[in-house]
Amino acid sequence: MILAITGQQVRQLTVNGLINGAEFGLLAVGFALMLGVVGRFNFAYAWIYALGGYFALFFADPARLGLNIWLGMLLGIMCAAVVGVATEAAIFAPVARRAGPSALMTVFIASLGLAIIGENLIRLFWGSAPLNFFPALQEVGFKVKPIRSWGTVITNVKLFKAVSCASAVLVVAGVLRFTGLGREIKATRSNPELAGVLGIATRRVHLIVFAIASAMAGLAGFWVGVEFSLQPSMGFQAVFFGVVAAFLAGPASSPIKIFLAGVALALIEQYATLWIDSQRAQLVVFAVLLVYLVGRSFDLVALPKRLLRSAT
Amino acid sequence: MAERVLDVEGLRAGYGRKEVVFGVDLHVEAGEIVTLMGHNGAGKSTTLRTVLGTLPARGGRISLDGADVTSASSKQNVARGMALVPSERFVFPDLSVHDNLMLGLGALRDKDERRRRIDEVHELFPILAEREAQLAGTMSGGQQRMLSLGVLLSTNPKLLMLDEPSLGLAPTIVEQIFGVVRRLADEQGLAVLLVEQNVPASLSITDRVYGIRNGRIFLDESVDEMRARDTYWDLF
Amino acid sequence: MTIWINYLDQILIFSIYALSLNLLLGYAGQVSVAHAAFGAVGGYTVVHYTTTHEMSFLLALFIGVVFATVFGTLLALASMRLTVEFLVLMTLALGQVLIGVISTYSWLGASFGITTGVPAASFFGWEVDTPREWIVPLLIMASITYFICQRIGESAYGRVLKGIREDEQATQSLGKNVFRAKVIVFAVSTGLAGLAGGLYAGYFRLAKPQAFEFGISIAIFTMVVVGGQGNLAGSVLGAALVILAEPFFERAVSLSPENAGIVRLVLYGSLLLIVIMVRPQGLLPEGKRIIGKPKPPPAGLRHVSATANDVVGGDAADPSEPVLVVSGLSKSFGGIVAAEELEFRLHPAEITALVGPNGAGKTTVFNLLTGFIAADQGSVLLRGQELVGNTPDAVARSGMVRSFQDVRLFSRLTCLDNVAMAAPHQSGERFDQIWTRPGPAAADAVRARELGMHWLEFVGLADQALTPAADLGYGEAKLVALARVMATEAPVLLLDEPASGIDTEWVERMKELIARVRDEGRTVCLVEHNLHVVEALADRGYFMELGRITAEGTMQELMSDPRLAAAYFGAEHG
Repeated sequence: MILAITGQQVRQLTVNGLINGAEFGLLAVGFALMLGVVGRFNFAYAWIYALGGYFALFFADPARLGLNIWLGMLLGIMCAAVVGVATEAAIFAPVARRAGPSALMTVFIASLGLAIIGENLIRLFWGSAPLNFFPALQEVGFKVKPIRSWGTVITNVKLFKAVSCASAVLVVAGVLRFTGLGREIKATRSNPELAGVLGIATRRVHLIVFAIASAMAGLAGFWVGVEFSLQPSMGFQAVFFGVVAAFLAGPASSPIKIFLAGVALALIEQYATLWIDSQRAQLVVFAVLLVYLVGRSFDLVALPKRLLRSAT
Repeated sequence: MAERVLDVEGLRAGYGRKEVVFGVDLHVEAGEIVTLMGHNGAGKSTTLRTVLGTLPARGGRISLDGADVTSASSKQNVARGMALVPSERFVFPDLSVHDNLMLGLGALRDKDERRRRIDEVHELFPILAEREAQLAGTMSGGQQRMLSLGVLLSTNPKLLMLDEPSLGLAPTIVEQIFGVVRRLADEQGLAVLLVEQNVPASLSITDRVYGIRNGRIFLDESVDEMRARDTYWDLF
Repeated sequence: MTIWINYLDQILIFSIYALSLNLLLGYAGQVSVAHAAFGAVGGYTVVHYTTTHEMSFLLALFIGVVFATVFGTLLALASMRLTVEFLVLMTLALGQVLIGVISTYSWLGASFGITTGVPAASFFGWEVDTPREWIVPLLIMASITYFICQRIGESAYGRVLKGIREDEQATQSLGKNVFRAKVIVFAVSTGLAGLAGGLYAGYFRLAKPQAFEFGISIAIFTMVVVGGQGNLAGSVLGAALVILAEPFFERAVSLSPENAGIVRLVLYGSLLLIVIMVRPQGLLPEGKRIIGKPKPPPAGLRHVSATANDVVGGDAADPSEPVLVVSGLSKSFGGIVAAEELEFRLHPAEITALVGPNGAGKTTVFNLLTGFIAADQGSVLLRGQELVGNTPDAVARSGMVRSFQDVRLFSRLTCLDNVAMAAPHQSGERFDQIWTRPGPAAADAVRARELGMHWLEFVGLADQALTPAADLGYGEAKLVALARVMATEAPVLLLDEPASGIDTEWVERMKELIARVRDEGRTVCLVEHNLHVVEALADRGYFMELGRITAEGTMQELMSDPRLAAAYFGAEHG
């Protein structure tokens, strides 16, 4: 089957990919921080993402508290951060302490349980039907408008989403690069024992990392709610893309690199729709992951190093 | 007699069900360098980590400058003037030399004081000033050792604990590092507790030697007594 | 009433799922978050062949199980060396791709699945359709699954799987082929998941993507974790709890069906979370069954089948003839030489020490000899047999076994299981023989247990036989580790720091035991930093520095050489 692929088509897909990629990249950076610095494979991240959107709507919807939508967004992000920190403090940290060497797996199972509980609590409180921000947007006179250039069409909401996500990543990258806090985070990731020896409060660093990562998820959840709608299970797909991007880039990589991995995945997904229908395009991303994992499993170059490490 | 900076009595410690230290007594005075010698697994590193507080003491008493710090956390002990250079993984490899040094300054907010301490470290190890922006993990082993010592010295310690600082280093580097340690002990009254396998190198700077075997101290000798021995085999 | 029978049927189907996952997760310590997707392989096969090809249900079910098994084998081969977080990702991605691919094919009903025209299932001409009719066949299938999992899990074979779960390398060091065991357990587990999926499809007469999606895999995962990993009855209990949560909320608490569904999910999520937080071992903890316990205990009769003389002294070794000859053995890592042209010999019934300063490469030598690190070149001849190029388990089976500096016992297994696992030639560890020759397998299990007791008695810890290794003190753990290498019956033992990190009285006991090991005719190579131990034990020694052997002689000769003293304690300088 040969399809005529036009330049316009490719440009549109590129723009779509960049916009989705900004979101996936943001989630990848947050997930990688939790995994790389704290050592938590946190599956409940998808729940935190949805929660950010739902809390924002709770604050902003005229039928609820009816605050200004941008204030609602900030409060939603803060709530996501608070819940994220609470999960680490109350659940993951104690579970990991008790599990010792099998902490990663045990925390993963705990986060699965939490994800199931969380999604269904949202259903109980807010219902299973999709909710949207239209009334809240109307309150502030915000109109969804198309933006056309180079023969492509996107909405202003999509543009705002992509710009906020990318900016958030830049802020996080800046904090890691230039501030004392960033230095402590990187130190905890790089050599936790030495960080302890220097008197860095690594527990505090862990909680801050959860706050940052959860706030990032909340931001993405809000924008996706504005772009489409809020659904209790909305986080799974996007966060899974983020997880894949984080692993492909390496959880200890710089935020920029991880972000770019997320963008690359989104572009692959978009371009795949040239050949397969869009519902199946995500399979290409999983296929990329499978190829990567199989390659990793048979990585003969790194094998002696691994053996040496595990044998000594 | 100078005051005792560190005083350890009947220390017991271990990991999980593995008890390693079964009653260690030792002390270090201000300006004194004391070496702890013994075979691998005798409990030397465990003693250092327990003194710092990264491992809990299971018995006995640790005091720093006369104050009981037996159950203090490592964070509290660092604030009170303890520093430990671990035997391995002693720098942050993917951080720059500058960032490594800044981490030693911890909560210190005073800009001038920060500058002054960094300058002091740079003066002791000029190579660190040249390599400020380099990632620590890409430096040579000797430079990383100097950096680790610089990081811990920038915490402004009264008691410096060094775990096998000569491991894998060329003799000239060992000499340089040990020279700095001796100088700080003499000039600033720094108390130093050294764990070392390299007997001649440590004898060149140490004042006193403890021998440890199977988790117990079995020997306490001055450096002159040590030098008079014709063999060290029975210490290990 | 029918509705309860319906739930009973579902519990049986999901018990099969949970049992199959437990074998993988609870026994072998491998992860799968895609067990429902493996079920899809069985389910779609059944529906497709019975509907489109009018095949008999049982035959289609059989083919489905075969497909799922093949699939699991491929997965195992592809993910052999992945660590746990990557295995999670791998199975997660695989599940998504599998379900995604299935739902692209219109002949499999695309995203709606095949829900119409599926004929009722039949077993040997007996058509079963109503829930009541299904009880018996499902009960039989679940029982067969339970039997299979129990035969595998609660046997010498299962003990090897648990060894892999606790410490793969240590298991390998005892001569067990962990590669084969992992592939087989993946294959069996996914095959049984295929069986569950096939039965599910036959029972509901449909196959649709939603029936095998990620959420179902997580439900299965929950059943295993909540019921108890490594406890088969726990998996059945877990399946019942998760399945019965739905009617409980709909009827007992009388919520609307929609809310009941949500509350049920909240409940089972909470169950998972609470179990992990307060009772990580699950509701029913792992069994402490003694493998190889003779059914009627032979009163007063205690025969020790294997004494050291039976094992080693058989070939009446000539003491002048070395047991092990190492020549030209070299290894470098990225330009850094770890071992260079090593030449040394071990003589029978002697203790040979490798001494040298830290970082000389002594542990690397053990890794090279036992195949944990592949040598670049050189030869290791054990009684004339070349060992270079062999896997660690093959080296161990050839008769050379190493211990580990950091002990590495299987911490959740009893001391007896730790030691009995080491017994060689157990037919119960061969997957085919646990089915074809259960008698000899059971006899071997008895022999292994007796051998384990013998060596626990040897180190003086027979009274701790049923204590989990994790509850031992460090000194005791070191002794059990010694008993474990002894039980391999290997004539050559490489002991890595057997006396480090333990109190004086334990050091004395260890010294005595190692001397007895030699007196029993075994050949020992010793790496130990406590020189008093080395001096007291070693018949001869090799001195190592920077990956090379630089001197050979008695310990007295080595220790009186001033050059070696300088190398050991550091060069004089300044």
